[in-house]
Amino acid sequence: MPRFLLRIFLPALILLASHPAAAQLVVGQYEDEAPLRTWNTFGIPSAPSIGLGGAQFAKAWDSSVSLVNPALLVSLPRYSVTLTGAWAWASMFKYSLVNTGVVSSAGNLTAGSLGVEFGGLSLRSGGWAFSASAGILENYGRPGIGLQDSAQTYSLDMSQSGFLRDYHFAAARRITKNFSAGLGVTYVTGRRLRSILETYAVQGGRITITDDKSENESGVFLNGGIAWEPTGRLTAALVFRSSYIKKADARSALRYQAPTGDTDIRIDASARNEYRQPWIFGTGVCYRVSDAWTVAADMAFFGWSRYSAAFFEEPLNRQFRNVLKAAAGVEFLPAATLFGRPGRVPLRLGLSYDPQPMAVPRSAYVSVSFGAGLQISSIAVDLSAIVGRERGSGNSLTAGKVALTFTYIFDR
Amino acid sequence: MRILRSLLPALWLAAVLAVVPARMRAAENGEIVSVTKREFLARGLDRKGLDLLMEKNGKIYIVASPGDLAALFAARVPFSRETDRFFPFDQTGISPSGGLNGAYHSTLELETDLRVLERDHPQMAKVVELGETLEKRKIYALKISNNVSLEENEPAVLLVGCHHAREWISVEVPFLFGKYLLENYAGSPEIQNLVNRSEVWIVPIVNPDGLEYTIHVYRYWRKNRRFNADGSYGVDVNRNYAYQWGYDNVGSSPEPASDVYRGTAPFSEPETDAVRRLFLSRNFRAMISFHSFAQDILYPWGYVNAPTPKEAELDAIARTMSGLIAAVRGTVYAYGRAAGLLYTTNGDTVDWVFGVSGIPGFTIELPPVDVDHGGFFNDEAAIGAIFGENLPAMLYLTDYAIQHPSAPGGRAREWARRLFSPRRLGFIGRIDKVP
Repeated sequence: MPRFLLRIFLPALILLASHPAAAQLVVGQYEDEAPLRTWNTFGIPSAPSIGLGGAQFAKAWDSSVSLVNPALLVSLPRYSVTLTGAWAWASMFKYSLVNTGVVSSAGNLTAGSLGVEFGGLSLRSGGWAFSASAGILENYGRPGIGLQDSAQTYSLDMSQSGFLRDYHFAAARRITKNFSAGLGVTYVTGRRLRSILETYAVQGGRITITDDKSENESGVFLNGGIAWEPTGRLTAALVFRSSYIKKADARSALRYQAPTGDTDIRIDASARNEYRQPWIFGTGVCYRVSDAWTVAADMAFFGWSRYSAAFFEEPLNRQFRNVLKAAAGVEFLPAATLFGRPGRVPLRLGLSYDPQPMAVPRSAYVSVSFGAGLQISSIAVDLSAIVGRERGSGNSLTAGKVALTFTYIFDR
Repeated sequence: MRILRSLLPALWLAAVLAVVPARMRAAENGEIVSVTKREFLARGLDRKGLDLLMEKNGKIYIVASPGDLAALFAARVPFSRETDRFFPFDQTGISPSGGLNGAYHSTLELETDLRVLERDHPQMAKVVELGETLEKRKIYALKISNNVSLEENEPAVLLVGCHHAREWISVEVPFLFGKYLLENYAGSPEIQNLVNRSEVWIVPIVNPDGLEYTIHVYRYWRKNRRFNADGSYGVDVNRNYAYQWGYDNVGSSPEPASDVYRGTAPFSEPETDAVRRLFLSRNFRAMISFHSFAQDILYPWGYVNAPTPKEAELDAIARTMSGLIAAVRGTVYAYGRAAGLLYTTNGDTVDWVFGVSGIPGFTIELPPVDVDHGGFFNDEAAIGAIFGENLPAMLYLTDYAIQHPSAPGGRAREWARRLFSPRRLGFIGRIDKVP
C-alpha cells in the first residue's frame, strides 16, 4: 500500500483513552439496530408512569396503558385524549466505528431526541373500552461524528438516525366486576439510516468514499393483559406482548469516486432484513394504601435469548440472554384547591432496574424517577423525569428522559 | 538448451492460453470475433445487421451469435475468436449472491462456497480448518489434489489472500483459482497434469474478523481485530510473521494504533499462527500472498533492500509471471524486490516463507494501479477479469513447484519445523537468522 495513504489515514486514529474490555469487538449495548436508551422497549409510558419508574402494568392514568395492558382501559374515564412530549437522551461509548478501532473518543458521547412521543385516545362504553394511539416506540439515533485534519486533506463524517413509529388499536372488556381483559394490535413502521462519508485530497482532486445503509422497517404484534381487582385497593395484572419479526427492506450503497481517474465504483445491495423480537411477559400489582397514597410495581420478562437478526442475508452474531426488568414507585395524590377549584397535585417517585440483553458485558441501568402534576377538573398535566446509570460495561453509560403529558378527560 | 530455456515462458503461455478458453469454446451463446476492417467492408458485413462491438487497430469486433458464426464460416470470412480477451473467466461461476459486499465473499459466503466445492468434488477438494480467530471465526483452507484425502508427499503450492481486511479482491483471486482447477479438471489434460502431481492449498481469507469489520462497519479497516493494551484495535497480520519480525520501526511499527502494528510477538496472532502451522506441515514449494493495490509482483527481501541468494531465480519467475499476466489483456504488473519496488516491510508472509524454506514466494499486489483508479475498491464486474489475468501466472507457479520438488528449501523446511515451534520451545522473540 502506498505510504501516503498511511499518512492520510493515520490522523483518523485519534487514540485518547485507554479502555478495558473483556474480549475483542464487544460493542455491548449499542449494536447498530439497538434502540436508544434501552433494548427493553415495551410500550410508551406517559409522564405519570415514568414518575413511578415506568410501572404501569396494573395502574392506568391514560390511554398509553393500552400498549402494555389494554385490560386497564376499562378503568379509564369514558373519553380521554393524551399527548406526551419527551426529551430523551443516552450516552454511549462503543458504537459503529466509534471506539471500535477507527475513531476514538476520550469519553462517552451523547445522543438525544426531542419531540411528541405519544398521542392517543380512549373511550369506554358499557363494559367495553377502546383505544387508538400513535407514537414513537424506538429511536435509533447516534451521536454524529465529524473529523477533519487541519490541512483539510482528510475528512470523515458519520451519522445514524431513525425511528420506529407505532400505530395501535386495542379493545378491552370488563368480564366481571373485578376482572377485565384486553387485547391490542400494533403496526410498527420506521426507517433507519446510517451514512459514512470519507474524503481525502490527492493531487488534482478529492477522492470520496461513501457508505450508506438504509432500512424501511415494519411489523405487527399483539399485546394483551388481564387485570384482577380482588379488593377495592389491590389490582394485579398479567400482560404479554407477542414475539414478532421486524422486517426491513434494506439497501446499501458503497461508492468510491475519484474524479482524477474518472473512477466511479459502486457496490449496491438490497435485502429483506429481519429482526426477530422477543416475547414479553409481565406481571404487576398496584395497591392503594389510602386515598392519597398508591404504590405500584412491575416485573417484565424479555425473551432475548431467541432474538435473531438477519442482515443482508447473513445472521448477525448477537449473543443475548433473557432479562427481567423491574420497576416500582409510589404516588402521593393530595387533594388541593387550584385556581379556586378542587384538584390534585400528584407527586411521584420511582425506581427501575433495566438489565440489557447482551451476554457480554452484563450490563444494567439502575434508574430513579420523580414526577409531579396538576389535575384540575378535566385536565391533567404531568411532568416526570427518569435518570439511569449503567453498570457492567465499565463505561458508566447514562440514559434519561423528561416527559410532559397532557390529558384531557371529556367525562370524568 | 539456453534457447529452450528462454522459450519456456512462451511455451508455457501457449499451453495456458489453450487451457483458459476451454470453457468458452463450449459456450453456446456465441463468441466475440474480429474481422479486419478491410475484409469487413469487402464482404459487405456492414449490411448484414451484425452486432458490432467496436473498431480498434484496424479490426472490427463483432458479438457473433451461433448463427452469425455459422454464416461467417459458410462465407469463408477469415475471423479470429476474441472472446477470451474480453471475458477471461466465466463470471457466471461467481457464486456470492450479492450480500452487503456484492459479488465479493463474506466469511460465511466463502465457507459456503468452499463446502460446495468440497461436496461437488469429493475426490479432489477438502476444506480444512486451520484455526480460529479472536472473534471465533474459522480460518479455512481448501486443499486440492487428486486423492485429496491421502497424505501424499507431492510438491505443494500455497495461495493466500486477505491478510489485509480491506483488500477484498485478494479473496477472490485465490478462491477462483481453486474453483477453476476443480471445474476444469475433467476436461483439461493440462489441469489434470498439474493437480495430479501437486497439492494446491488455498487460504482465501486469512483475516476473517477484519474482513467482516470492513463489510459491516468501516470499509477501509486493514488489521485484524485484536484489542490492544492501549485501547486501540488490530495487529497487521502481514507484519506478524517471525522472520526479521520487528527488524526496524519503518517496515512495521511497535505502536498499537499504527496501521502496520506488528503485534507483541512473532506469531502472536491466531491468523499468522494458522498459516505458520499449515506451512510447516506440508512440502510447500511455492507460494503467493495476494494483496491490493498497485499491480506489482514482489519477491524477498521486504525487510531490507538487499538481494536474497536466489535473487536471479525469483526475478526470473516474477518476470515470467508478469509477462503471462500482461499477455492476457495487457495489464502491466511491475515486478521486483519488495523493499526496492514498494517499501520495506518486516515480519511479512513472503519474507518468512522464503526465510524459513528458501522456496519462491511472492506478494502479488492486484489491481488497480493507484487510488485514482479505485485504490482498495475494484468494480464487481472486474473480479473475473482480474482473476483471468492472474490465472496463467498461478498455473505457471504451480507447474514451477512441480518442476522443482526438492529444492534446497526442503532441508530448510525441516530446520524451520524444528526451530519455529514457539510453544514447544517456549520461544518468543525476534529471530535474527535462519539457515
